[in-house]
Amino acid sequence: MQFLADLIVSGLAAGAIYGLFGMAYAAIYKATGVVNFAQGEVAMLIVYLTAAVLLRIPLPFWTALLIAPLIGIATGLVLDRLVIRPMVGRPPFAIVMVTIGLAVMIRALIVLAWGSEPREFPARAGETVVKLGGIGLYPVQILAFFVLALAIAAAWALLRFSRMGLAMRATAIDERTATLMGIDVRRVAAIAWAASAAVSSLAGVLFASTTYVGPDLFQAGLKAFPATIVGGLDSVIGSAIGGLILGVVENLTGGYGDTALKEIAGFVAIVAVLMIRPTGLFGARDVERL
Amino acid sequence: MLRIESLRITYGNAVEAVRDLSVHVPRGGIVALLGANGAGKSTVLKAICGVLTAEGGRIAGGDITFEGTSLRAIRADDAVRRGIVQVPEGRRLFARLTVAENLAIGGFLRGTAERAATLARIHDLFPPLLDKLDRPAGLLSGGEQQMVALGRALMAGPRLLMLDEPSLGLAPVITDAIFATLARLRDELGLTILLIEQNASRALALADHATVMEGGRVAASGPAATLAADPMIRAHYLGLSDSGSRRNVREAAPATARLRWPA
Repeated sequence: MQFLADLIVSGLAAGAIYGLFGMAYAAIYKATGVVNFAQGEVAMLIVYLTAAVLLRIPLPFWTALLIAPLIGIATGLVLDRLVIRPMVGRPPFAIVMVTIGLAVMIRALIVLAWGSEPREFPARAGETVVKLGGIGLYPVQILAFFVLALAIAAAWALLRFSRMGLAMRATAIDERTATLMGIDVRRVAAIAWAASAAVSSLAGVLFASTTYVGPDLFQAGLKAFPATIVGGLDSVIGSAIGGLILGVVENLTGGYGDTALKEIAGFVAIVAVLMIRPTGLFGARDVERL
Repeated sequence: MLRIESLRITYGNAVEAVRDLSVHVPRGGIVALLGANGAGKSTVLKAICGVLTAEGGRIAGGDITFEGTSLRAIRADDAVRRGIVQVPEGRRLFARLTVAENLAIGGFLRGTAERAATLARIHDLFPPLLDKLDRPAGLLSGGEQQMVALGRALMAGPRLLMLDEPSLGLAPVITDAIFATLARLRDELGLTILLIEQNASRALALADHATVMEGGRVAASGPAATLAADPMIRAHYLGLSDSGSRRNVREAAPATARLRWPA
């Protein structure tokens, strides 16, 4: 029983990072209808930039969770302006292809700028195991829960109560009509890219602090993609929950089954969920009067 | 207020959707743009609203001015800021959002006080919406959806309200109610309206002035009452014989190729 509890809690901790990545995917998809296949690479770039700042100015780990989102917002806005805005009005497929190209470019840029050797993230959250109800957790795992909860609350408040959140929801449903209502869809896309990069930067920093900073860090974002499919590609909060589910499923599969199966557990979850709910567990379905 | 002068619109430099169109919409007036499918009416609306370029079209000649300012290079959100607001064809509500949220999006560019005042006005104009504010707009009836679409446009504080086929898919009694509301908006608020309709009889009954388009060109233009009395218009757009009796479908063949006024 203790083993099961350990697997679930540590799965939730890993899932919190997946959830943050999932929210990042969903934020862009919800506002623009585009899947950003460079999500992991964007997070990786921000982690490298954050690490560079921390190497110059040694600061405690928690400051990385403030610096990274700021760098993330700037990165998101720059990428939107340089890469995405020129594509406004083009079919989503063309923009998705651009994100794939962007992913390749960021990977190459990172190797050129920082080399291919992995290195340790300059700040650590601490190695002292904290016991919660008999289950041991590292501080970074607790921090991951806390950050995810904060991100969910912020996303909920933004989408539910703010004008910009409403504009994002409207743009996601029908961009042309949103335009006719006076919504500047280019601004909506820019905010979505900035928010997405900020959230993925948190996931990146949390992940890198438990592993390393290397040019294959982007794979964490790719691995989290099932989270947003399971939760619902157009549901920011659903994608966060999808991440938690994915983390637990992976851990239980690895704990009770073969470790190799753990790697494909997320994709098996995608197939299972999509067969029952094609829009994901929390994805919106079209409302139509029959 | 709105002047369209010798307008020419093309798509991809090949298809000429609108040719030599001139229309004047005076302040506080209702002007109807009539014509069959493909006549170019909606293309004109896209040009006025600033969404033509995004759909591959361009103004190849002439100009559109709103209160003396050219709209040739206007962006859609700037058009709304200037008070040019559209009720799109098919209503195009945000189906998953509630009625209240749809109305709120209409007022996206306006201040809180202005939105509250307009909302009260909309509740007065459309009482059936009052107890449906929390329902997803996609679950409303066609008539209720048209009320929301009109209310959403009013929330933007229009100075020029443009409606694209407001009677489309609606029962006659609902269409009557919508057109009565438009007349009320003109009479009580002095709203300027550009109405695009295939239902020519209703449009001519409401409008002060009308322009009939055919194949992208002006086929007829004049005071609505004059056009309504014109035998050719009666035969080809209203489906009525000279004596006023309704013609059957075969007799009232499409106007295309038979009806030609000099441009």
